[in-house]
Amino acid sequence: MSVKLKSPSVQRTSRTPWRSKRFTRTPITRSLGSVSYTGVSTRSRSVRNRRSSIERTPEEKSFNGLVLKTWHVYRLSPLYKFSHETSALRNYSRMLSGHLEAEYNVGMAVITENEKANMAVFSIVRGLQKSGREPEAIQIELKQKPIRGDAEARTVYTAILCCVGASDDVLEKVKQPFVLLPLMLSKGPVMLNRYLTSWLECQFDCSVHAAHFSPLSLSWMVAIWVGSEAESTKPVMLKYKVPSEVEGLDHITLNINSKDCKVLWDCIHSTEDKTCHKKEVVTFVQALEAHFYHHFQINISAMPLCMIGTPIAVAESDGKIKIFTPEHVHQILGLVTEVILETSIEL
Amino acid sequence: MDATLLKSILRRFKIADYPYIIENWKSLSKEFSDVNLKHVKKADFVDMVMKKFKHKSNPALAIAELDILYLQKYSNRKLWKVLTVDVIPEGDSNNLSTVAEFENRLRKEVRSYLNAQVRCIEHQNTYWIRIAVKDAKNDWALPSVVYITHVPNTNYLMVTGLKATHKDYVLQSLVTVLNGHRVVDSHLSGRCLVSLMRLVLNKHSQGASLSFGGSPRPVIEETLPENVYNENHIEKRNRDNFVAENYGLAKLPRLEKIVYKLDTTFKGSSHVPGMAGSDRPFHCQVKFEGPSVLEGLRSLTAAGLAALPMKEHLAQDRNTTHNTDNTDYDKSERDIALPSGVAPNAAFAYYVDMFVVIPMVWTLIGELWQSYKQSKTISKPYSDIPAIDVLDDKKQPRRGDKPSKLKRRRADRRILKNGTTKQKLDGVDNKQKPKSRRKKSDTSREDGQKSGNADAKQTSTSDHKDDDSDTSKRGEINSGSTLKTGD
Repeated sequence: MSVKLKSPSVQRTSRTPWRSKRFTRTPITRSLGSVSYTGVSTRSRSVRNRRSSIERTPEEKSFNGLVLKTWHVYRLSPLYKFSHETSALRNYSRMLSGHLEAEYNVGMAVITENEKANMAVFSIVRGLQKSGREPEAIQIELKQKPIRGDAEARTVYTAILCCVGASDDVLEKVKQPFVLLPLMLSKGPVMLNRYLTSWLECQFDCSVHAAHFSPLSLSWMVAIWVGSEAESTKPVMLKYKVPSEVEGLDHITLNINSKDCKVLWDCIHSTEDKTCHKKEVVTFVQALEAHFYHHFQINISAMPLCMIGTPIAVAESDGKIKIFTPEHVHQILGLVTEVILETSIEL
Repeated sequence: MDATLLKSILRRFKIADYPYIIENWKSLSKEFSDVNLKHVKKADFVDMVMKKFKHKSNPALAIAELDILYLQKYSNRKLWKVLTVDVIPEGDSNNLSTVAEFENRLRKEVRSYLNAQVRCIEHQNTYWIRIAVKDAKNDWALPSVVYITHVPNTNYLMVTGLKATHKDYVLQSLVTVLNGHRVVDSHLSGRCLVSLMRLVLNKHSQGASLSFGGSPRPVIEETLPENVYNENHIEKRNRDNFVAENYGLAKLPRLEKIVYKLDTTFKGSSHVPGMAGSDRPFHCQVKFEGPSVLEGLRSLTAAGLAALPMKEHLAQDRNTTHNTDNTDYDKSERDIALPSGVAPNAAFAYYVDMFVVIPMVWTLIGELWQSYKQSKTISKPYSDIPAIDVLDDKKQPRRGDKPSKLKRRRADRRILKNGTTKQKLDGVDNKQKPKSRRKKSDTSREDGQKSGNADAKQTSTSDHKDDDSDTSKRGEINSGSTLKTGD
């Protein structure tokens, strides 16, 4: 005997008993970020760039903690009854510190003295939102207070929960008491990360999963980020993983001069167009692979892309990113949030 | 300081290496004669060695020997760089025939620049050199050590641990001792010392000829279940044959990294028409990484991920930093920076060796043609040779013609018409044959072997030179390949 569960709001096709759209499809177009921030002054982008060499806005200064560090990316489902109020954040800090102590007392994990944290601090990070509808970003720091002396507590682990550039459809679906903070950037020891994720899952009834970027997502990233203006001379990198049946060779890396790559991208995508089409991305990557094939006769398109690098950021398929410039933080995190929201199961 | 250094070196060894130490460490071999190594612990062994070491008169020598022993055993833990010394070809009166002479000379040179200890040991026809440079500021600090491997009577040095502060002095000393005038970076580095030596010293026996020299690769045959049938078995067989012919059957030397720098124009313009007419170079660097990149590249071909015929410039000595669409490079350009991770001429010689195989095939064809000619002129007795028709190019037998009897009758008729007799036909003097043809046959009979050898010599020197005179031959024989000088 089978029990059929029916929900009146969900459409069913005649073929399948479950929902017709379980996973969202990858988009055909993406916007290239006509950015207008709340909490950031509404100067035009060119003016802001000119001023950046002289003085930075306070929000860009605060992004220095995000820049030049390798972050592990996790995706979070919406948090239940998460509050941004100061008293609530203080409460969460106290609860998390207690949870850490309890975990150490259990003594299951081997953790060195340097990596032990006995204090948790929740704080709000201003300026990471793209629109006013998005919740503010939260920073969680796990610190180690010295046993003796009045020295300052040392930060051992940092995590940032944020939502940058989520589309209005998704924001409408997530209603109170749920809060959408899908992107978690984590840096620190693995055990502390596990303690934090287990506490978040228990406290807010969410699920935390490590993000993986598919080769197509990485292609989107490299194409969009190549188009952004950057003063750096770092090359554009495409790293392919050789299949395991080929013994002896692990990776093939292409490092291309960023200026030459920009010229190629400008031939494919016009600078006035604010949206980027999937065809342009595919053409860009195929052109680079064709250039490689002409010289080496090796079908690199048959190998998966595992890491990409541009003058502004680096991303790996196992969910690591590194941002080089504070000016492009919104653009980068916005794209990463979009990719994460696409891979999560539709609510 | 000596004691701490000795302890640190001893602790690097594994317990299984202790018999190796006892057998090969000459400084303390007498003291170790009564040692029992069963169930010995590391700490106990180290204490025992330290006690015996205290009474040593020359501790620095013993430490140096032990350090070199460790390096001989675990050379793959260091990154070795190959340097080429341009040796002055004139004869030198300082003939350093023994290790001791070499060591003394090198010690004098190094000590004139640095406060260093120099020790040389000969092992399997190779000089292992250890130069421990002491820091001028701190006497108690451990010395920074440079290790060099040199095969006598060659121009090559494998160096590891060379710091920028000591680099000039150490290299200058070596150049003076080896009677050279400069040191050139060969752009070849790796962790496997044996592979580097093989690449550098056996430049011209790489590729297909590895089948006859190197260690064989284990041949793994795929056993498919009964109900599974490989549809592409012919293509797979062709691919395997190509790989075996060009890469050889032996194991290839181990290299961890090969880097190519490309400065050609953009070649993907089929996808991006806007870049089609552009002359702007598209600067690109390609890196192949893995535990054994050469084996990996061979497997790529075998696995079908590389299209056939594979691009030969993967092995060609192409200076890609100066590469443009029209590459007509001279010999001098070959010595400049090449794909790092691959030795200069070995790059061309070993990887896919069409340039050795094709001239060999060409000489073989030449010799076969010569022998065929000889057999035609010599094998039959003169009486059997139909004197005129066969040797006359103009009257070649057409298809459908009857055999030689018909030819003889026609010849008889002609001769009878001219008034000569049959007897003359039978005893036709060979002197009536066209002079050019007779001379050729005579020379081939007398000097057949010499001409064959001359051809072989020419082709072998062309192999070594790799000059563009061979390109025409390449173009003729390999019409299907993508080898083009203009590419």
